[in-house]
Amino acid sequence: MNRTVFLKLNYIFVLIFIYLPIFLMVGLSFNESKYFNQWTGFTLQWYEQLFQNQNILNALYNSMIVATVSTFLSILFGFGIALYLFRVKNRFTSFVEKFIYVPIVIPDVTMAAMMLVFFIFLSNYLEIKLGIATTIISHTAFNISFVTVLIGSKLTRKLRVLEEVASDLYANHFQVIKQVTLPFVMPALLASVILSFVLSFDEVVISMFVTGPGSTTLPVYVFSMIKKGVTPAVNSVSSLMLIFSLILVTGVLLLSRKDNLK
Amino acid sequence: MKKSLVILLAIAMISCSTGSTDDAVASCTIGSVDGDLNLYNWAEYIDPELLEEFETTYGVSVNEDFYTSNEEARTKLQSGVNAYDIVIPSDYMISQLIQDDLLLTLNFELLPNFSNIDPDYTYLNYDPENLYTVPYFWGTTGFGVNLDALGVEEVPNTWGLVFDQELRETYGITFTLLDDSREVLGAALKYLGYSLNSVDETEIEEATQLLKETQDAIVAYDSDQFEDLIISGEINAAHGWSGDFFALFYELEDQYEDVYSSFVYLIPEEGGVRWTDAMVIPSGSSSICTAHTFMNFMMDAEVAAQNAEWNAYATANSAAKEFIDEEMLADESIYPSDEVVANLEFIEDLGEVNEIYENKFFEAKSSN
Amino acid sequence: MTRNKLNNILGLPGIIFLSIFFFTPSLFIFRYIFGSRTRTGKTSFDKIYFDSFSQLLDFNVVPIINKSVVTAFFVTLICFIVGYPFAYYIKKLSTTMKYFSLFLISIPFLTNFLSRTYSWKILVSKNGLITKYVSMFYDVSSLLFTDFAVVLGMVYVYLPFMILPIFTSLENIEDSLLESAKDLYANPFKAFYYVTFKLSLPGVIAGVVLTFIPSLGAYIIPQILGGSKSMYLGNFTVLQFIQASNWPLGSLVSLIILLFMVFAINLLFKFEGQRNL
Repeated sequence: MNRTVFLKLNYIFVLIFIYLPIFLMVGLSFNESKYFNQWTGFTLQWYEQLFQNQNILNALYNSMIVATVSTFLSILFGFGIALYLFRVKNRFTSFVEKFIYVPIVIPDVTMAAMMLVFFIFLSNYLEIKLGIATTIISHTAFNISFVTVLIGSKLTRKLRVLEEVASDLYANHFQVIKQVTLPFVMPALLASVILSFVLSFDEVVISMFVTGPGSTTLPVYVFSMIKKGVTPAVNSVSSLMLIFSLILVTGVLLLSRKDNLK
Repeated sequence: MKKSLVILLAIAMISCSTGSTDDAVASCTIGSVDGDLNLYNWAEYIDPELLEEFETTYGVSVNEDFYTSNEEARTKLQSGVNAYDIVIPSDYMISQLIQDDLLLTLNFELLPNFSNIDPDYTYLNYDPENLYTVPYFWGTTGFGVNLDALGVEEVPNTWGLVFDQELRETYGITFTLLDDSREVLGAALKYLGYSLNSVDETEIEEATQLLKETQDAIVAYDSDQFEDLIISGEINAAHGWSGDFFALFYELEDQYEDVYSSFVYLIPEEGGVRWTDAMVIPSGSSSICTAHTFMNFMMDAEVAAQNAEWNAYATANSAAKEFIDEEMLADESIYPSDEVVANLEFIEDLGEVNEIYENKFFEAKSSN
Repeated sequence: MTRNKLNNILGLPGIIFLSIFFFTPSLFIFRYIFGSRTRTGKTSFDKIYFDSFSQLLDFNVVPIINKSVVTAFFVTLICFIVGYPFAYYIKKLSTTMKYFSLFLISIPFLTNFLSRTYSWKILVSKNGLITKYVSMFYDVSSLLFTDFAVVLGMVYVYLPFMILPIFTSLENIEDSLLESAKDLYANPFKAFYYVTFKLSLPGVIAGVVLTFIPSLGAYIIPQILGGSKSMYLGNFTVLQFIQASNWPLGSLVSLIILLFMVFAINLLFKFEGQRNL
C-alpha cells in the first residue's frame, strides 16, 4: 500500500475511533428512553433534570473549586521546582529529578490509600476532617509532578543562553524571569494549566478516599450514579462538561495567541 | 522546623469544631437541631422529596454523600476523619462497626417514633441490645429472570438455575452474579444445603469448588448494572437485591403489556439472604441532635410509607403500613410469606472467617 | 551567591509541599506492610507482623501479574502501532491543521473518563456497533466482559498519551536534518529509520512509559468492561484495600507495583543519559 494513503487512513481511523464513543454519549443524552438500546425520541428532559438535581450541582461546584485551586497551587509549586531543577545541578536535584516521577507513576489506589492513612495520622495531632481541603491537597500532590515535567521539557539550552544574555542586560532576577523565562515557557505553562485542571477534574479513585461530607466531586458522584444504574443524566452532565472544557481550552488557546502576537 | 511544619499544616487545612458527645446528647431535645446533617448513604436510597421536607421543617441543610458497598463505607468510617452524622449500612457491617467502637449509642428518649417499628426488626443479632441502630429497610437477595427472553412461562424456583449445569443449559440461562463474596458463596452454600453463615472450612471449600465449576457460565460479577444488562438482552437473569428488580419492573410497565408475566423475581426454595439496613450515628458526628431528629423523622409513619413506596423495599415500620399502597403490601416478593422468611438467613459477621470468604471468592473469580 | 540562594528558594515551596504531602504519606506504606489485619478489618501495629508476605504467597498472584503485564504490553503495542503513524502524519500537515488535529485528539481528555468508558460498554455489548462489526468476521454475540473489551477501552483512554510525546519529539527534529538524511541514504526507509525514528526515540519511550504504567495499574476499565471476572493488579489492590480491608497486603502489592515502575523510570533515565553522551 502507498505510504501516504496508509498514513491518511490511519489518521481517519484514529479520529473515528476517538469520536465514536463521544458522539454516542452526546446522542444518548437526548434520548427519551432511559435505556441505551432503544431510541424513543428526542428530549431535553435529562438536561432539565440535571439542573434540578442539587447533588449534581453541588458535586460540579466542588469539582470546580478543587480543580481550580489545585491547578493554581500545582502551577505555583511545579513551575518553581522546574526552574530550580533547571538552574541548580547537584546530588539533591538529581534525586528530586527522579523522585518527581513517582507521583505520576504511582497507582491511583496506592496514592489514595496512603493519603487517607496520612490524614488519619494527622488527625491524631490536628483537627482535620476529610473534605475539600484534603481533596485539594491530594490532587495538588500528584499534579505538581505533571507540571514540573511538562515545563521542565521546555527548559532547554536555548533558554539558558537567552537567560544569560538577559541577566547581562538586566540586573534583577525577577525581571529575567518575567521578560525572558516566562514568555519562553508560556506554551508549556498553558499546557500544564489545562492538563492539571483536567486531571483533577476527572480524578475518581483518590477523591473517593479523601473526600468528606459535602465535598463529593463530580466524578465520584458520577461513579456512584453509574454503579447504581445509569440514567441518561450521566450523559448529559458529561456532554455539558465537554462543552465547558471546549470553551475553556479555546479561550486559553486564543489568549495565548494574543500574547504571542504582542 | 517541626513547629513551622505544624503551622503550615494548620494553614493548609480547615479545622473543625470539637464536640464532646455525651454533653451534646444531654442537651438535645426531641426535634432539636444542632447543625447541618451529613448523610452517608447508598445512591438512590432515599426519596429526595423527604430530604427537602426535612430541610424546610427543621431549617437545616442535608449533605448527602454516597458509597457503593458496605466495605467502602467501612473504610471511610474506620479512618475516623469523617464527620458523617447518619450512615445506613447493612446488618453484618453494623456488627463490625460496633466492635470497632465506631458508632454512638442512641438516646431513645429522643426517638419517640421508635414505637412505630415492628419488634421483629429490633434487637437483632447485629445489635442484640439495640443500642445503636434503628432499622431502615429490609429485603431479600434473589434471582431475577427475564422469562420472555427464555421463551418460557416459568422456571423452577431453585439456585440450580445457577449451579446446575443441566438445568442451566435446558433453559439457556445467561446471568450475572453479585460482586460480593458473602452473597455469592452464600447462594452456593444454600444450594448445597448448608447455612450461608457456615464457618466449616470444608463446606466453604465445597461451595468454592461449585463456584469454580460455574465460573465459565457466569457472564460477569456485577452488583450495579444488572438491570441495564437484562434490558439490553446481554443476560436473561441476574442475582440481585429485591428492590432493584422491583424498581426495574416498575419502570418497564409501560413497555410491556404485563411486565409481571415477562419477568419474575425468585427467592429460591433452598433459601437465601435476608438483609436489613439500619440507620446509625458514627462516632465522628458533630450534629448529634440533628441526627436523632432525622432518625425520628424517618420513622414517622407517613414519612416511612412514602419512602417505602419510592424505594420498593420492605419497611420495618408497622405503623407505616396503613399508608402504603395495598398492592405493594400484598406483593409476596416484597413482603414474603412467613414460610419463605423462615427459610431466609441474615448474613452474620463471622469474625476471622470473613476473610476466608473474601479469599475463597477471589480464588474462584480469578480461576480459569 | 544571591543568585544561587534565589534559585534554591524557587524550588523550596514545592519541595516542602511534596515532602509533607507525598513523601511522608508514602512512608506509611511501609508501616502498613508490617501490620496485621484484625478480625474487623482494622490494621493493628502492636508488633511487627509479616502476615502480608505470607498472604501474598498464599494468593496465587502470579497469574494476575502475568495477565496485567500481558494486557499492558498489548495496549502499549497497539497504541504505538496506531499512534506513531498518526503523530508522523500530523507533523507533516500545515500548521493550522497540525494544531487542529492535536486539539481533536485532546478533546476526549476533556470529557468525563467514566462516561467515555461507559460508552464503550454500549459499543461492545450485544447489538453494539463494534460487536456488529466484529461479528462479520468472528462468531461472537457480545464482546462485553471480555479481555478484548478491556484492551480496547484502555487503548482508547491511553492513546493520546502515546501520540502527544511522539509528536513533540518529532516536532523537535529540524527539517534540514531530514533533508540531509534523504541525501545520505538512498533508501527512504533507511533514512526514516536512522534519522527520524532514532531522533524521535525519547518521545517513543515517554509514550511507552505513559501508556504502559497506567494500563498496569488500571482499575476502573477492567471493572466496567471486564465485569470483574478477570482479575488485574489494579482490581486486586482495590479489593484488598476496600472489600477485604486487608491494608497490609494491599500496601505490599502497591509497593511491588511502585518498585516495578521506579525500576522502569531508572531504566529510562539511563537510556536518556546514554543518548546524551
